[in-house]
Amino acid sequence: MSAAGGAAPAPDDEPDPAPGPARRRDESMALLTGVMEHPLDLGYAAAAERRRSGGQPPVNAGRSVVVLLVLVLVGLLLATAALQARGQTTSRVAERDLLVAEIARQDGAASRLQQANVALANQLEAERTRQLEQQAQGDLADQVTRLGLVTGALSVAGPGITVTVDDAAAVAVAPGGDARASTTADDGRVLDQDLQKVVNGLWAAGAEAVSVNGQRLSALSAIRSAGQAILVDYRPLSPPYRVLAIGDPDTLPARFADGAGGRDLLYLSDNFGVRYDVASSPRLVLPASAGLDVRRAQPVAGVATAQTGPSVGATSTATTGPATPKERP
Amino acid sequence: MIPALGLVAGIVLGLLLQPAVPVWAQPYLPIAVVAALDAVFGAVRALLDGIFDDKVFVVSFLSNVFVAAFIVYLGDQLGVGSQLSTGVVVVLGIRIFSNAAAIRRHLFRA
Repeated sequence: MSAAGGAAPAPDDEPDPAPGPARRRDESMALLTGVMEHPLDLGYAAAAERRRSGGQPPVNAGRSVVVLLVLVLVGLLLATAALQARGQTTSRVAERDLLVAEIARQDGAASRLQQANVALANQLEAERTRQLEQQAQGDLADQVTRLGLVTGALSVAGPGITVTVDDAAAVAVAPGGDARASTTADDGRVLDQDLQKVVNGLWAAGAEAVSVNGQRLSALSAIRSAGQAILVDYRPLSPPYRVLAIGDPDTLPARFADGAGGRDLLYLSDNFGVRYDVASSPRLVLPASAGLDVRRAQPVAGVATAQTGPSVGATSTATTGPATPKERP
Repeated sequence: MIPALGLVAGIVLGLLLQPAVPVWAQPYLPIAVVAALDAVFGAVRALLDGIFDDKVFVVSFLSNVFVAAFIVYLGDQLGVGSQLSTGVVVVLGIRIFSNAAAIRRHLFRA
């Protein structure tokens, strides 16, 4: 093989040493040659031979009704298939467009309602504060504001860091355009648990308020996945994920990078190509949480004054937050 | 001439009636079309070769469509439906091409 491959091209064909009847070169492709060389149904030749031997002309011209019927059938088949193929695609495309438009419409309606909700909540808070101050209960107003900041009921502003996490480049450019829809290259995809770790790392690093893509995390927040989308407070997010955290600008970035969240991000980045970026900002504005509804839970009588200590840590911890009370720098 | 009119009449009829294809028959429609085209091209070539026979045409059309659909059905049951469909399309496609080339040689002498 190597000798033949490296040799100069032979000027003439090498003589065939095989004795006996000449073998066709394409003998191994008998099936294909059969199809290529006898495309016509052999029945035609046989029928013509029969007629010729019977003294009739070889052609039996198509005047019969059966041939006409068969050809009508063929035409019917062609038209039906064409209509079928065209109808299928158009109806599918139309259905898909309808669904996409509906999703976009409902998405817009949902975010409008959410914004209205936030605005109303802010108005409510402002009115309450004003009312309390008018009634000379300034310390109560302060307490309500402070609790609102902690629970996520109030939008907050302050210095902090922005952690941007994005799927690996291989995922982002996956065919189909929508990174959430593609099923290839799943390894580089940011998962709900990755975001949970980042958020937990931020809480552990001393963050005082956290939001993910504009969804403020509260005591009732959950970060989970549905299909390939990550949901925060039941709102689907799409990458890149921007996690905003308010905290001490001097210590928060370093403590986050040294903590479990930063290490996890580094690991994901090194091993799966997940892209992330940490930037400090002198001022971040986080919206109020939209989903702070408590319908069933009732305060236990007397618990607010009588019981302090262990339960305080548990109530101030978000479902996604650390299991232990936050450490303060 | 009359058979060609029959073909046209069939197409017009199909476009006007727009027959609904039952769901179970939908996978076999494309294969049936290819098989029917193969039979028709074969018939035209036989006509030009001077050996056309209406009985052979009718039988070859019906058996072509039936066998092609049966192969696809069998493939679907065995889980290799798409591969067998591809095989049927390749074989019939080669035949259609060869017959079309023979027809072209007859008509244009080229």
